[in-house]
Amino acid sequence: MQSFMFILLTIVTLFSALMVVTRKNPVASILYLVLVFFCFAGFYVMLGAQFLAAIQIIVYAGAIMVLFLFVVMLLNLRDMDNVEGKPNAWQNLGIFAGIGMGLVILAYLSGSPGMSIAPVGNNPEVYAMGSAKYLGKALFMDFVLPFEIAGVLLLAAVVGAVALAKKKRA
Amino acid sequence: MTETIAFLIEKSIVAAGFFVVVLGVVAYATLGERKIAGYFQDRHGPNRAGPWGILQPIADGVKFFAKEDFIPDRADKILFVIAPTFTFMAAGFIMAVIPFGDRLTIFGREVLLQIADINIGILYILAISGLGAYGIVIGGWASNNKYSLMGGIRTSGQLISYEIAMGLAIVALLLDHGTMSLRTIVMQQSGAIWHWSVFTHPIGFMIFLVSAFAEASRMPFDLPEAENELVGGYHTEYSSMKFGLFQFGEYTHMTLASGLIITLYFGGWSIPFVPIPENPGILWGLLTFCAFWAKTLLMMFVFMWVRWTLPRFRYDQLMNLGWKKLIPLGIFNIVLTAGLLLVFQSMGLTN
Amino acid sequence: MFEQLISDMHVSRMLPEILVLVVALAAILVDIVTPAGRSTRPVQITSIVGLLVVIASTLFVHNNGPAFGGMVEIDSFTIFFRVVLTMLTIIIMAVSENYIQLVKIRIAEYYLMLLFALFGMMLMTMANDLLIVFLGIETMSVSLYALVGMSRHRESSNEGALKYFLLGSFTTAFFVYGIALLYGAVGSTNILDITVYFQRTGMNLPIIAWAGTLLVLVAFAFKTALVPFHWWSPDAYEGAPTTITAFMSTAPKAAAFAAFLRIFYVGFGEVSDGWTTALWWIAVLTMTVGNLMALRQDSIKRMLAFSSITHAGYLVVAMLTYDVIGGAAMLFYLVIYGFMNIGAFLVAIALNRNEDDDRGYDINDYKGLAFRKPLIAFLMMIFMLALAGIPPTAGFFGKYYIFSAAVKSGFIGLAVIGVLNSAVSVYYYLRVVVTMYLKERDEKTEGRIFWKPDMAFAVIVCAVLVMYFGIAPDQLLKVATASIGALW
Repeated sequence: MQSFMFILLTIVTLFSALMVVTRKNPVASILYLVLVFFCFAGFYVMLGAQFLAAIQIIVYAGAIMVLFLFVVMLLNLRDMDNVEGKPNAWQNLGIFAGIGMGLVILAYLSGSPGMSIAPVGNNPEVYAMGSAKYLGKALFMDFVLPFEIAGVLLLAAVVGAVALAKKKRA
Repeated sequence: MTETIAFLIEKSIVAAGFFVVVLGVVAYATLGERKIAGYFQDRHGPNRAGPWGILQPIADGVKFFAKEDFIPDRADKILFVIAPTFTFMAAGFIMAVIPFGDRLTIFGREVLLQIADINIGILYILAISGLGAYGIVIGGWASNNKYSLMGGIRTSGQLISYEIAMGLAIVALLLDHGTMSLRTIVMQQSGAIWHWSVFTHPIGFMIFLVSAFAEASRMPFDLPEAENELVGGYHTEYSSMKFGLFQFGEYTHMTLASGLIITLYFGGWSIPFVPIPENPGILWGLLTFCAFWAKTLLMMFVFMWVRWTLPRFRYDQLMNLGWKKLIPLGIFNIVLTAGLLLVFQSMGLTN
Repeated sequence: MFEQLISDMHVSRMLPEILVLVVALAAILVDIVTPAGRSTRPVQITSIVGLLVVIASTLFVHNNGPAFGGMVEIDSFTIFFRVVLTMLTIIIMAVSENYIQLVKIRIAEYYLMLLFALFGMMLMTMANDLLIVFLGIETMSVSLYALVGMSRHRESSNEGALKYFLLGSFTTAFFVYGIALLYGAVGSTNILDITVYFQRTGMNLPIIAWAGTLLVLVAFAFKTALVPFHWWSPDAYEGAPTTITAFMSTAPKAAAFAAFLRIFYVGFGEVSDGWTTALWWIAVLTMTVGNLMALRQDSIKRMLAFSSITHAGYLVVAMLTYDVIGGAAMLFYLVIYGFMNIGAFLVAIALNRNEDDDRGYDINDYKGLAFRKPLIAFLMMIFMLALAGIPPTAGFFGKYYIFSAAVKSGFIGLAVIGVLNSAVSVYYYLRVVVTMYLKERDEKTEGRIFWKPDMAFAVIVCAVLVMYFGIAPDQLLKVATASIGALW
């Protein structure tokens, strides 16, 4: 059952991810990206990280992608027909690099015997690790420094964005 | 194995039952709204279809189905069709975690009157209601109409802004309850009436209430469809059952938002001063169910009351309220709650 | 139990960083209480005074060791960079007030972004964990993106900021992906764990670890503007307000090199054979391409921007020796390069005729400057000679240490290429000197000179330091050697 879900999710994810980069209509791309994020949330649930799954949907699907849509609509982008049909040399290079990267990971995964790509199943210990309690402890104990710095980073980003966006003072 | 099957059957029945109840409430909410509007404006409201107009929702439904289903020529066909469904679905999904009642024992099984008591219930609701924006935004965009588009853009801005305030209000609540399971939150509010969160978190409740109005795009925050500015907003181009679905989704959203407010701040299904029995019978289950709906209907009345009392905000006022008032207030509320909790804990009291 | 946890974190070891944040918050408050539309002088003074306190706390409070469970490491290497970076930031802040009034930026956020950038940079120098490096780089970069785009009425500023932002985001993606791959291989992002892992595997790494290392290398090459990952820098440097250009070409570069050093020396030291090969080619390309492009520039600002790529190339030469001598030479060069480059940029600001017009930095404006403003011309000459590496300036010793370290480590070919490049660079640096001293005055190109007391003071300080370290380099070299020693 779980491996069936896993395969299904994988297929949908890969399909949507492909659609994201191949659609000419930016709105369609965004919606497929939302689907990708949904599938990620599905993976998180299968890995026992329900909290992350919910956050994934709230933050990415619920907020960031809505902002993407907002921007696309403000610019009123319809079909991107003026984009060249054939990829140029650099784009081809990028495609090759992407494929190469995939192969690297695949080679690594197939080469290490102890590693499985199957979901965790109903292991309660792993399940507990996905809870808000566990995450909170990790964030405020082991990872308190990165957590706090991330706060500073966001503050810097907000101040910077306001500085760039605010109206000129008289 | 039989246990699994029994479980599945039980959950299916519960889910189907709730679905029917919610749909019924939603259908009559449309009638209720018009009746209330009528009384507020010193007229009768709908009173032709059946006594007191109680057949009006059915007549409306038939009307929606019978009208011509029109898709504008230059619209994005697929998205145009998906959008209203999406709105309705997103509103409906919220139902899955709202506790409509306590347990009841029937045929020797203890049945939970809640579709799923997941341990991240509140986050689930935040996630799904965040998705609700897509239906409206996509609908506005797919119509290929300037007014629709503006409605869609307004929605995306509005929903994101108020979702933050709502999240902040919830954070303060979570600090207090220490859980994200809606059922546990309700249980913690049972007993004396002053256990209700509305009394322990008055600021958070205010923020949540205002945000819930904005999230449901209800007056005074119905800018996405502000008819005298945007013709009909995002649903200008919609007709027939697609329009009906939008309307239906909106009322579903309002109903479940009321239910959520009740659950979080007014003790949910708990009955004040009545302790939760160890072995609940059918009666207890039904009583809590009724208590939930009684409170929720009252809350829905507040929604309608506000709609026919307050004028609409301007868009900049809406943004100012969200970003400059509610969000700072929400942060203050979190700090205040955390401080009070710390004080109570150090004094050895549990809140 | 809880108190024990807190004390195990050794929060106090990060006192200077915390102070930087306190200064930033104080600056925000000062900005709020300052009436709108007034000058940003109060914010500037708050920031500078605060940063002086930061330097004092770094120098006088000794509390070394790891903090936050080994996520950061406070050692002499960290302290060295803390002081250098804070000093460079103070110099930039000191000259900024008049300048930002001139170019109509006039917002206190300018100083705030500098402070946040400084915070990010300080984190990078102490980070013992790839996560912290990442967050430090991001904090610094986000601030720099905003700073580059501060002159909003100039198109080139917006263009530069956008390009910098897009390419910087790509870099971030590379870096995060690299971290993820390394984590996949090692199971930790702490560089000490990575070292242990590499000690076990030796050069026989799984391909995923190689890919991760490569991606991290690429990300650092982006951040330090090494060829072929330098494409963002000319546009960003040209678009940015010139004080920020001076800042970006020195302090963030130094911080990025510091993190580069710590990660590659400590973390990836076991596989140095792998990355030194890559760096060898990068060093050659960086020195040569930067030089060739700088040769063709008529704008002083662009010339300095391209030449800063070349200098990064010299630094890479020092880095890939992978020993104490090379590392010390690198630290030495980073310091004196900071002062001479900032000095040169400040003179360029002083002579800029028209900031709104990007053509305000033409070399022809310098014709006969020695007869018009002998002091400014003299100071500029010092910086140009130092950048070209001519004695008795500190620039000479900087290059001397680097190339001798390279020769000692057996990179003779690289040293030869470096010296040749250095010779080429003499052409465009001396061209400025020649223009100032040997060309006739030209009334048409003479504009106003923006020579305020704060500017004069900062330029003279830079010049004095450049000369002082040229005459007595031993002291600084000793400090640099002691600092780099902390990585072994």
